[in-house]
Amino acid sequence: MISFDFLYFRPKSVHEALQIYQDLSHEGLQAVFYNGGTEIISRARAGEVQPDAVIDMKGIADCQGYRDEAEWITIGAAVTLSNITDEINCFPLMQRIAKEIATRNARNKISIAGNVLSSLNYREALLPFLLTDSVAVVAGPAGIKEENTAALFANGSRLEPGKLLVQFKTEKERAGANYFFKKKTKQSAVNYPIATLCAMKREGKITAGFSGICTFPFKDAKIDRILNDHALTISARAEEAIAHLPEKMVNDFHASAGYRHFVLEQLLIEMLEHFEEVS
Amino acid sequence: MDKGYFNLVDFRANGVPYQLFVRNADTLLHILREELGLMSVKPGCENGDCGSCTVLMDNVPVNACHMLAVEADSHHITTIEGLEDTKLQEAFIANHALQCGYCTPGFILNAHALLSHHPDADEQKINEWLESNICRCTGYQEIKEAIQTVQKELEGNG
Ligand SMILES: Cc1cc2nc3c(=O)[nH]c(=O)nc-3n(C[C@H](O)[C@H](O)[C@H](O)COP(=O)(O)OP(=O)(O)OC[C@H]3O[C@@H](n4cnc5c(N)ncnc54)[C@H](O)[C@@H]3O)c2cc1C
Ligand code: FES
Ligand code: FES
Repeated sequence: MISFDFLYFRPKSVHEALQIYQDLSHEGLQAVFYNGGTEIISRARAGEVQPDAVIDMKGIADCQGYRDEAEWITIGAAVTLSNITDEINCFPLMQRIAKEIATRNARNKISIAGNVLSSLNYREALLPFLLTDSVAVVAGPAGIKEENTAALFANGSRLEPGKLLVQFKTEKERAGANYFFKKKTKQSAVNYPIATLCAMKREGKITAGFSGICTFPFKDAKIDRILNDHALTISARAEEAIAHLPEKMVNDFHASAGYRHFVLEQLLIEMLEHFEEVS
Repeated sequence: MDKGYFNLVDFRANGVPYQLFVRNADTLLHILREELGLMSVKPGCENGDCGSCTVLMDNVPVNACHMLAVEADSHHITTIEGLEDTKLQEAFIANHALQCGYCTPGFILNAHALLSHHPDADEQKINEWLESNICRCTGYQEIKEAIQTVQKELEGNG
């Protein structure tokens, strides 16, 4: 049971959602944007968040649906992970990752925006957007802007308060690239990752994305250079990549930093061997 | 009572239309049990992990603990009270797919939706859908067999 009360709004447009947010702010009330609500409900029940109002995004047409146009795929921020696994066949890496997040019941509710903007470390659905240099469409008081996903979410950043995620746009040719994906959990298949590694190879170059390793999901240009350095052996590339992580490895009850190191090294070797075999 | 913290919700539960004035902060799980008396919707983890609170919203399984009652507005909710004498219920009994029964409504609803969306679901698809529900008593095999028994019957009739 959620022990406190909040206001509930269901706007029909991005403009209306922003207006509600601003009006509430002027009254000194703190609102949150709400999609699947799975995280907000759990955190509210646990007393970790106590918003004065929730603004449900599911009634906004621009945040819904999936469009497959000439060169671009557009995925609305309110699209659920089950919609992705069932429908978005031209983005196979995204489908694969979505299928391994939570359970089918939960995925019927979890939205792409909710996962990407989750307060947790993992945010695994961000990885395919990072690897494909996708564009995030973000609305705020100054209007609607298209931003590079990697820059927007660098080093674990999220959106500034009052801004909302409307859509992601991905170049179709990038979405369809050859990929590698592996997620290692502590025990059961349904769990947060000790380490998730995904990678894509385009025009002979590998780009890799990580979740569960640090306190945020990331791709890193330096690590990509190391992974593509054929002067080094595969195991040396894996070791060197780990030496250049953007942050200390997470050490928690899911896995020690030492074990994470071991798992990630194996995953990197497997990924590099996979792409070597494919080519 | 501050009316801003409540909303009128218009929805159907097991085919019956309801108009309820609900607290925005109440979950669908709470309202189905405490307001409508649909006690088959079981609270377990209340954190989206166990599936014991599974209901169907427009024939799609969702965890009622992870949904606000206000989100049910204009939707059709089905609980196990809405399924009567289905082949699946019979197959659960015949295949010993339940022991204490706490998880059973959730499993049956999930399996019911699975078979209506994917009547010829293979083992992988069945596992993917059933992964949402946890059973502390059975070994899951009996549950899978109950579903496969119904699939065979449907095939036979088709
Ligand atoms: C059983 C279970 C297992 C899980 N396993 C995994 C896992 O393996 N890997 C993983 O990465 N995650 C996992 N998760 C976490 C899950 O993906 C996140 O909790 C996610 O936030 C839920 O999405 P939602 O749509 O329900 O979010 P909500 O609860 O609606 O929102 C989450 C956050 O995003 C913000 N937000 C939502 N939409 C917008 C928007 N359009 N604009 C701006 N802000 C917005 C909200 O304000 C809030 O801060 C799991 C969750 C569950 C329940
Ligand atoms: S009680 Fe809802 S998923 Fe466990
Ligand atoms: S029959 Fe007891 S929990 Fe499943």
